[in-house]
Amino acid sequence: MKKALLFLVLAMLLSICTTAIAADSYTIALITMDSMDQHWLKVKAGAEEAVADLVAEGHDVKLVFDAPSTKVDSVVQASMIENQITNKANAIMVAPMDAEALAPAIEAVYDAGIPMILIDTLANTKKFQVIYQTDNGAAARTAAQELGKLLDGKGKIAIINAQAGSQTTMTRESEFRDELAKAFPDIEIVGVQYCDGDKQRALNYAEDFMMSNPDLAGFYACNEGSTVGTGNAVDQAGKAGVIKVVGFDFSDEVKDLVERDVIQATMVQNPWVMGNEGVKAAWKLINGEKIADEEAFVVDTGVTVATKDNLKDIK
Amino acid sequence: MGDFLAELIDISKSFPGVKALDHVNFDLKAGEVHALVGENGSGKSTLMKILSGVYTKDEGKIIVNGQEVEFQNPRQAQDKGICIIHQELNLCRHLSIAENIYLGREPNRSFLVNQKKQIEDARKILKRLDVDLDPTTRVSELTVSKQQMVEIGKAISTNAKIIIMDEPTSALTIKEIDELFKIIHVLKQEGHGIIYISHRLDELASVADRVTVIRDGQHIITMDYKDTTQENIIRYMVGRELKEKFPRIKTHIGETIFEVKNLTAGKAVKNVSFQVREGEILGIAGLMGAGRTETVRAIFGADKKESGKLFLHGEEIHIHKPVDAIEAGVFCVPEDRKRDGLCISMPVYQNATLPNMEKVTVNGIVNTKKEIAIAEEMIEELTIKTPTVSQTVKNLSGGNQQKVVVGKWLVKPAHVILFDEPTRGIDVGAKVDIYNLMNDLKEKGIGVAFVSSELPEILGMADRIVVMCEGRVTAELDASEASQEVIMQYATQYM
Amino acid sequence: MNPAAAKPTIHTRKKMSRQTRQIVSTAGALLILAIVFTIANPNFISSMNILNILKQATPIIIIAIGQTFVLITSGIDLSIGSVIACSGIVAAICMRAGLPVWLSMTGGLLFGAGVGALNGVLIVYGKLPAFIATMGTMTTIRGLALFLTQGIPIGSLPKTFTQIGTQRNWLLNVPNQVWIMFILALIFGFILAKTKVGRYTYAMGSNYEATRLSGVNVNRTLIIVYTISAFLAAWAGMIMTANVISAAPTAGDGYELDAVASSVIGGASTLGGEGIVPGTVLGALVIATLRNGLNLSGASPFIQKMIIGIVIIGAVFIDRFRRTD
Ligand SMILES: Nc1ncnc2c1ncn2[C@@H]1O[C@H](COP(=O)(O)OP(=O)(O)OP(=O)(O)O)[C@@H](O)[C@H]1O
Ligand SMILES: [Mg+2]
Repeated sequence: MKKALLFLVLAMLLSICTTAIAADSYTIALITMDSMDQHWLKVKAGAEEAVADLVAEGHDVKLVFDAPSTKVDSVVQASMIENQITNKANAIMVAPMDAEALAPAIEAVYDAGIPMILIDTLANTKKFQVIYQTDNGAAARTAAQELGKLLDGKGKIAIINAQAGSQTTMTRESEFRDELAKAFPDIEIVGVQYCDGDKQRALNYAEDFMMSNPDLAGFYACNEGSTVGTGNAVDQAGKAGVIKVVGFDFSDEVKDLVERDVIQATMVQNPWVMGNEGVKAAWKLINGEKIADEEAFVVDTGVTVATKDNLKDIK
Repeated sequence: MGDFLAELIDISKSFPGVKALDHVNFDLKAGEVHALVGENGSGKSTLMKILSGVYTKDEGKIIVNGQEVEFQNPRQAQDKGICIIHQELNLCRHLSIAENIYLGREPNRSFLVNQKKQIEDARKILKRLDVDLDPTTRVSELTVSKQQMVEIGKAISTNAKIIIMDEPTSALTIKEIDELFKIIHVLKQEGHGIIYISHRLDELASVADRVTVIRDGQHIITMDYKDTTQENIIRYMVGRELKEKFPRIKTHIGETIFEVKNLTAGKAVKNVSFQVREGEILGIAGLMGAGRTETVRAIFGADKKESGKLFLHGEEIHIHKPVDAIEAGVFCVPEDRKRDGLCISMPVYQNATLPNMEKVTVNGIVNTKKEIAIAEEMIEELTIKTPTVSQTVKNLSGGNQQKVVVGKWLVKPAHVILFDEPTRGIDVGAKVDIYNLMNDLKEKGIGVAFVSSELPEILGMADRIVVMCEGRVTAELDASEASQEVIMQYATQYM
Repeated sequence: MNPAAAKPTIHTRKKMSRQTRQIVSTAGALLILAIVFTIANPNFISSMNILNILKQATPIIIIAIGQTFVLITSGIDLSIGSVIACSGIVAAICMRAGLPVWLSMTGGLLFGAGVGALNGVLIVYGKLPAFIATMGTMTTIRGLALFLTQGIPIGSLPKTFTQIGTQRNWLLNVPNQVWIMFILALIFGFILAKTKVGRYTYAMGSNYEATRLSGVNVNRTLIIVYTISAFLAAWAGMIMTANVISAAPTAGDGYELDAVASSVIGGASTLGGEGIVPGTVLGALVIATLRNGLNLSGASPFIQKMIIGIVIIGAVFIDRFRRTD
């Protein structure tokens, strides 16, 4: 019994190894912040499609995907990058979860002469060729403009953010605050809560904000989970349309809430484009071509403001 | 009166529902062994816990070396040179002898433990006690008696002048007891005072200088041992004449109820066979480590059997786990009550009904009234001393805990009951209660077998005796042909 | 034994008070919190907010009851959070496949119970420590949740289903989920306090070996206990899915620790043998009230985390202190 089990495990390991050995002559590695969020799955989907295109053209390319299983462990992510250096990946795409902590690993890739493409988020280093990102600051400023207009420049709002400690979501919060203070000084931010992307928690927080501020006029939610949770809280409190909600990211649930006018606007990023363009850039770099004249070249993949009116066009 | 090491004057202590000690006096001189005896729950352990700082007294005075003291915790008592060796040994099994002796008081050089000095010091202490052990040996490799030596070593390493031993011999074999007594003599010579608690009154002849008897929390008498007799002590203890220490009854011996054939289990049980017949009590004798407990556990399904067959009334039964045994009507009263017998943090009545839940449940729902009724009956029958049935078992005295372990198996109809050291830690009076109980079972035609390390008990109660040595049965004797010498001879056959 | 006959009255009173004392002290803590928060923000005590607290506490209460069973046996169930997510997903997939709501929910609940039974089997027959076994299923089931959804939450659930969450009931205007929680608490409180399974649960936590040697089918009881825990987690999964109208593979992450905290505040011991359902319910309410009250008073979210941590340590510390007396 025990032996049979051992054999099974060995057999499985062997099959994994053989597929690895039979690997193609080119490997592009993609390492994201986690493997759960839809956002990263879209990045992955975009990357996969770009690889499929290359394969269709007759190239021998393979995509390796990896991501930490918990959301906040930058050490794990760094070791994943190091593993790819060891495995001699031909190009590495990384969405760094911590700008400081991952900088050394990213520099190590660059120093090893492996093309380094950043996705989604900058790291605290110049040692990479190109980054495909949403300019989160710009997107957050757009969100501030949207909410300001919805509220006619006055009233109380609350922020439901995802993670304290994540560069991306913190930028979405701080830039939003700055822009709001500049453009709509009469809007008061009563508070912020971090729901870790958990919808039930976001819902609870939103409820509490509505309770402590009966005159609350709006919410700004900083990622998909926060947006859905906040939307549902407003809906369940019977305040749909009364309390304005501007969210971030897109999913079936967000779409549904926008359709029902619970959420008035949401910032839709283009993660698919990041992954897709990232692979294309990787291929160019592998083949010795250049992306731009300078290193550390920034490409903004932009956001689309999804509202009830343009909902059909968002994919 | 300056020559007293310690004096306890008019000590009183109450627990909720119990007056455990009622104005008790006790004292100890240097270089003497003062025995403290009394029935289960009479307050011996409580008195000693007060002297060693585990409990605080309600009333009274403690005088140590002529100075009145107030102990808030065991540490303070230790600092005054008082050390208690509890019946349950408190050693770290994974550490060495030396590490245990100096635990918490390691000789150190800045932050590092000075290993060499520690081992050397430990060696000196072991030498003083005349024990031949390497101080680097792990405690888990020692026998219970050797572990006890380590406890004693730990005590004298703290320069304790007063050493309290609470039932030190209950887990020792005859030979080991001799060794312990030798050490006690050494300690006496060195001027230590020893307080000695035991239910084995015949031991007192070899060690005790003075004896104090307490009953129901009250001081009865203190006397010089040489001026008294065992019968006398027993009379003071139980407050009446005890007719017979071993109330053997004669019944007609019938058919074989239970048979064990060629049982082999683990390393400790090799090809063991014996029978239990109707109308007799079977005694299983042997030294500690002879594989008696292991045999009983294997029969009961507590441990795995390698091979062997069991027959109940001539039919083969298959026991793989305790549930099977219980369903077949084969019960086992385990040896180690703390480990195998009791849910110590649960009330008495819940312990009593644990193996009997089908009696007190309807569709899985517990009828607490019924439970309490059953438990009250048990308390009555075994004269268990507890304020109520809902007292937590932890708060019962050792002997009364043992009675609960025995009692919980008497609720159900049985074919065979295997007792493993059923009278360990039980007072003389209560021992007779348990013997009478075994007699009852025997009369009812239930098979009774008991393991015991006390030879007088085996000789006094068993109708037939199986002797084991090194996992094998070395003899099967009729009570009439057995004697202490014969049993010992077979018990050491392979040694 | 005549003196014994005279004493029971004293003692029965004392015995009762040990459990009631736990309840009273936890309830007292709750009351103090309520008073403090009401002073900070009068909105706190509004019936609307009280309903909010109950609603917010509901999933935690439900899983904490299960965790209490497990803690009493001196085990731990780390897989709760993953079971929340995956059972919700199983139900959602069934609903999207057109199965009736009740059948889909049964599917989700059975799935949860199945994971619990698996935990039990791994512990009992695989001889794995509970911590390891449930940590393994935690990751595995989280992976399954992601695999089943391909990472994408399942929305657009039928209204009859989402009503089990927030629909207010004709009875006192209380949301359905609170009633569900209440009923589950009653049922499982009864099981723990009054049935054979409950008694064996305590006995195993108090002394596993003695319980086994008393002929209790410890294996079966352990499997039942872990099944109860995961079954309740699945209930929480249903309710949380209904609340946000979305079955997310990431839901419930870290909830197992809230469950442990609630049980422990309510008097359970991680060393086993102790814990009661009413205590746990109150413990979960303490945490929910603390979160809600701190939110209402506008405390910084970072300070809030610190306060909650300190309260957990404090509550247990005071309890231990009182008990060793
Ligand atoms: N912590 C406690 N709480 C409540 N009652 C206690 C506690 N400790 C001891 N008792 C009670 O005090 C009485 C004296 O107990 P003690 O342990 O001193 O007896 P003992 O003489 O050592 O008996 P034994 O020979 O059985 O060990 C008993 O009735 C016991 O139930
Ligand atoms: Mg005692």
